[in-house]
Amino acid sequence: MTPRRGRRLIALLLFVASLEAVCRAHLVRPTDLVPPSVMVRAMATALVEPATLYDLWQTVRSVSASVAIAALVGVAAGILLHALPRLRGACEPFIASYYALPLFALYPLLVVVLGVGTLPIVFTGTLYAAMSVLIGTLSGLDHVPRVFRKVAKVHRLGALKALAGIYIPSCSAEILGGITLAVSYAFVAVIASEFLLAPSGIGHEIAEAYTSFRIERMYGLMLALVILTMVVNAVLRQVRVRIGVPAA
Amino acid sequence: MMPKNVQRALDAALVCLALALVWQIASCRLGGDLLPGPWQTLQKIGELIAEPRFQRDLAATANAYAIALVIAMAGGLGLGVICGGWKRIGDEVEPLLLALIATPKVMLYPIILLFFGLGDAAKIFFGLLHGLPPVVIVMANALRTLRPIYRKVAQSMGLSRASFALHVLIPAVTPEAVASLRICFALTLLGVLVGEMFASTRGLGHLLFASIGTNDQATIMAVTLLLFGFAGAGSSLLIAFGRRLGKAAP
Repeated sequence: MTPRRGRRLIALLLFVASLEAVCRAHLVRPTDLVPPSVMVRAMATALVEPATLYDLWQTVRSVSASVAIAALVGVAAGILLHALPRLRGACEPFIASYYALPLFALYPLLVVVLGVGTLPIVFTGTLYAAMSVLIGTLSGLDHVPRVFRKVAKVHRLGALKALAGIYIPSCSAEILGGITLAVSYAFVAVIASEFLLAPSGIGHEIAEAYTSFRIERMYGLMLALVILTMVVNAVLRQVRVRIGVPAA
Repeated sequence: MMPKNVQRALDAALVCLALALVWQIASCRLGGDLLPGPWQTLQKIGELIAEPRFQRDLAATANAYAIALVIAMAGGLGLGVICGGWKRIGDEVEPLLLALIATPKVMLYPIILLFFGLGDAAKIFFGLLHGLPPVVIVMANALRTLRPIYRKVAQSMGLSRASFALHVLIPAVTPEAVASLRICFALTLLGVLVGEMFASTRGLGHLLFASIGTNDQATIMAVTLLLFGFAGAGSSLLIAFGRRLGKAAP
């Protein structure tokens, strides 16, 4: 273990221990915050229930589907906008202000249009996630070295062949960066939609635990979700490091 | 030939028109009750603006947003300078902030609600959670990637630390500061609205949440369009400002 990792682990342990002590000494109300040990126990209890596991699976499935669709749509839209600079210039204010919108407020409309189930949640997740892939693709295509464009010309590659064989591989780092962000955005949108109105999913479970005053369960489920997002991000970081892309 | 900025504005207007057309077609196909069209939505905005209750909600959101934006920008710039200037602090703080950016913050609302209660403090905190971390990361990165030649020139000219900060450092990182302000502008608004949806009894976010409950599509579309207009106008101004700074930069 590197000294930096060791320092971080010690800091984390100290934080958890002090939180445990504060809660055990009743310096905060048990309805506000429960000790970390109780959170872990509540998480373990929740994660052996088939219904909770199904909810977690539903959330993971919705996020995965959102990211997969967003990756395809985002890359395609990025290529299109890069090819049409005037359209890109006109769309810039929309792209810049896109993430200011609580798009999950449109969830009820999507339920009516797409029906009850995972489809409106996946659609909301895709809406949120696609923009970061688009931005990543645009940034990547902007930084394709001039020599690569010359090589494509010298070999008289068609637009599609040049894209598939040269441009997309050369900006894979930026696209992967966009997809990494897309995972976070998809989580945000999916969980927010589940919080709002969805009949299932881990977000719905957390909201239900909160409204029914099952605070220990709420914290247990939150801990599970935080660990899940951290694991997903760590895996993505490792993938980026493996293929030689900076981790952050 | 048309000036570039006029052409850009015309192009943006054309994109708006195309989007409005698609929206109108979707509204015709789905029905005006389910998806109110652009004209209906504009009329609804007019009606809402005349309502005292909406004015109160608008004022509440504007107030919380202004406070959150100022704190997020000032705090983000300050922390960014610390993280960028002192590598050891940056190494410890930045991974935590990156993890926070990647966490779906909306799930933290029960905790924030428990600690801050219903009201302005909760939604301002939500705004900070969304808006502050990206500013820190961008600013720290800007300081860390400052071209070494700037320091060398300052050293060879014997500039004091204050003069270096005032005449070299601040102008050099201003474009990144404006870029981070643009990110902060959008994300803080989202944070405040999310805070209002879950942890407030006033504001546009709360109005949206209440409209979702009553399936009032006209209000949902009107508030969403209003927010998009505000965010789009703000972002456009900041983009134009950033471009001007980019041109002015050495």
